[in-house]
Amino acid sequence: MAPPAAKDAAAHNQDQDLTTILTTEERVELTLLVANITEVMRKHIQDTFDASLDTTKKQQPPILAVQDKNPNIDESKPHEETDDEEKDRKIREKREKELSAPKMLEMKKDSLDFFDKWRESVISRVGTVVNSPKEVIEKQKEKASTEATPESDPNPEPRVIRRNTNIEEADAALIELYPPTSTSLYSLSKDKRIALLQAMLMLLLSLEHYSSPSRILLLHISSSLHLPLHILTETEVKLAQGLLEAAKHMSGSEETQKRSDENKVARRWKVGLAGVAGAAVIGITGGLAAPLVAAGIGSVMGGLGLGATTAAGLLGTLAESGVIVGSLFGAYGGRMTGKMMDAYAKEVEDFAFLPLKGSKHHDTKPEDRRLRVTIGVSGWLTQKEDIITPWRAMGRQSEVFALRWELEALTKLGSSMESVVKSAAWSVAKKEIIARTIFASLMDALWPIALLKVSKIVDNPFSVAKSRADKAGLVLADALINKAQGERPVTLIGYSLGARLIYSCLMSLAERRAFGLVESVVLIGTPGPSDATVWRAMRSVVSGRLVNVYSENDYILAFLYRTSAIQFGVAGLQEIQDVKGIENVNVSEMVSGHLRYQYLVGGILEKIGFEDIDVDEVAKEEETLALLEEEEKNEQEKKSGKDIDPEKEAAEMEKEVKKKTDLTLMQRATETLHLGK
Amino acid sequence: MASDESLPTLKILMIGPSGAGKSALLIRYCDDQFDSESSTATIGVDFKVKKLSVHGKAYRLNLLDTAGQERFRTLSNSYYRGAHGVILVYDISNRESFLAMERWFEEAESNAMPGAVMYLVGSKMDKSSGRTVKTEEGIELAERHGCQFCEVSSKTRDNVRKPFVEIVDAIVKDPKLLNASSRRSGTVSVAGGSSGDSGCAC
Repeated sequence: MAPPAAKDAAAHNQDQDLTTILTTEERVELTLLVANITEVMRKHIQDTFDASLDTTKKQQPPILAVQDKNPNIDESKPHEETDDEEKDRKIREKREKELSAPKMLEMKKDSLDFFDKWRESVISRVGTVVNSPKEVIEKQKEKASTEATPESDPNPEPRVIRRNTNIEEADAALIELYPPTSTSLYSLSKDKRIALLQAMLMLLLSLEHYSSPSRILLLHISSSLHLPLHILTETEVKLAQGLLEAAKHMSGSEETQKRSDENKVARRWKVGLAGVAGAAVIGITGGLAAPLVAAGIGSVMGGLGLGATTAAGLLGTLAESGVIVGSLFGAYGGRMTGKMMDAYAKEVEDFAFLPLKGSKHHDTKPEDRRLRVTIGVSGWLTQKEDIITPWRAMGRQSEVFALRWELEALTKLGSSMESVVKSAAWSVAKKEIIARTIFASLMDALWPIALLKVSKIVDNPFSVAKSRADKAGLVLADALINKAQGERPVTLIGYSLGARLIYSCLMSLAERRAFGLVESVVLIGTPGPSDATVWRAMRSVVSGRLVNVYSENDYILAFLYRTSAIQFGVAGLQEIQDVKGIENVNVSEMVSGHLRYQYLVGGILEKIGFEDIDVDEVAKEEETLALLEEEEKNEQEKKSGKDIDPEKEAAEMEKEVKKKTDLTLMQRATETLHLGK
Repeated sequence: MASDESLPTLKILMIGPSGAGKSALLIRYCDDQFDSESSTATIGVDFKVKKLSVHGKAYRLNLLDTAGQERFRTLSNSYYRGAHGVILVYDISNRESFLAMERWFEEAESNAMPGAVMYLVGSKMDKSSGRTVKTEEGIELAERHGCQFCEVSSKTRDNVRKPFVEIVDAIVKDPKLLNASSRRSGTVSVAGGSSGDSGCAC
């Protein structure tokens, strides 16, 4: 607290202690809590590779006092247990075979190895902080005075979190997904628990990266301390700003900063490639090299419940080096990406991250920086805004980017899909398909003739875009591995081919053993396999939630995917089975067809209790969807009267598609000219 | 600091019953301090780094001072991973702590990677009047487990460096151990994990 102490802490002993907040006994509890939670997390990883079927049995530590939060959260868990035993055994045998394959074993080993390393670093960091060399009595006194100081402002106004976010759903999901581990720390006063959570966040950041298991650990801790989720996210936001603010002050030269900012904008519009875009858009460029002192950081973070010295101590090297802060936020990522990018550059024509917030003029200001990154990947485009609009619903607690990739291919696909769906052939076919089930149609390849006639319009754009998605996924994986996002956890959300892109990205991450980068993933209507082997691999690189959103009514997806490897299933049409830790969300009643997803992203995310969804934006989405539906209905009615020759219609559509595509691309080209160069 | 990073790093654990004097030994060795008043139990794991040269070659020691108390047992499978050496400490004035050693050896042997070097230390050598464990007994126990042994006093500084120097010496003599650590640790942690499950469930 006192300035001399602060100096001392910065100079010698970075490991300023938690004793200012906690008694010995409470520190013991904290250590045990961390140990127990990490054990649970480790168990989850093992479960992913576990052949025994019952997805739900035991292993959740006793729930201490959840009742006051949400009484009905436990309902969704106990299912699947009533499976027939004979079937069980067979499936298990098959799975055991799959799991004992050397490739799987190796992946399990590597993923546990990564986790153990992380856990060791966390536990020894906690240990160092908790076992302070100087002891007790003196600290106890200090503790008393800390609590008395008005500086600790335990109930900060949640200014960054808007009222209209889905706080309740997210909290319910938090407790369900990360069941509280019992700890006596729960009985501490709320202020203390908040301070504790903040301290843990800083402590984890002092490892100089905010890896995804660290974030999950904090979610577990939040839930165990019975703190609502928004306290954690608020702290994250404040800390991000505090760190950057402090780093900026220390680096002095504001002009450098400004210039690099200008540079950033100009460059992005000139060059669409990831190498440059990755570094320039996600990163904060250069100029952060001067060291911070504890006092500096403390003054910025006065709003947090901790004293300046404690904060600086917990943050360790992070509080002293602008360079480390810079790399946390991805200032230096992307360098390698540029090099790696060359390998793909010929095939992937277009790849860039567009920031969503602070965005009117596409500039990411420090106050829009967050400790987490969310990347939304669109699946097809009917107008150029579609890259960004579906992701508007993402709130402000994480830094949201939209991935722009293969604009041309996606626009083409979008136009053709729209045309096909509006076609008379399709409406005829749809009735026919409903009579059977869509899955049977898929498997038997029994598609209505009329539909097959118009298929040439979409088939080609789809397969082109799909193979581009696979390649762009590799590029994204590369960008993540090279820390284009900084040392921050990334959440990936995508629909349609965007989900395919993410699928390809995750597979590549798994293959390259890049664990701990991705926090959560939501795949919506994925044109990809639903095979357990694949999803297990994906699971291993995702620390938090891995959600498969599917609709049994998605005729369009089934139709488009019919020429691909359907023997491995289609994730966008069915549940993923036999892999623990995957959330299957059936949106059949919401989603009548593939083209709906674009307008349902927010709604779906809200439904699954995803963190930080802007309810207002979701409402807007719904409005748009309603309008669209009406329009479509009118169109349908217009056409249904006439009897159209499918051949002719197809030709007409082809023209229409070309026209639309050209129009969108032209618009974009004009804009590029206008903005760039 | 930065040059330390490039040194070969050895991970050494200190284990033994609560109150045996592990932390005192470590603090005396690393910081050359001793406080006879202080007797706070370690919480979880404490962590210290020390540079040490053996035969003219410098090493960076990551020293993990573990808690002896039973309630921290759940942590044990998280720190054994990749440890090159384990120092087992008992109190020569406390016979029970010596008798417990068998169990500590067992824990170390089942958790540490195969080939990790063990080292037995009898602490509080200065308390000769209160001695309840004879030096010969210590030697005998160490021989039975095929490891080296010495008695130390953190209070008087006697032999404080000896166990660290000798264990490092033993570790670096075995190049397999040094190089294999990263490779082997995976296997070890898998085994450690499955034993840890039962521990967690309770």
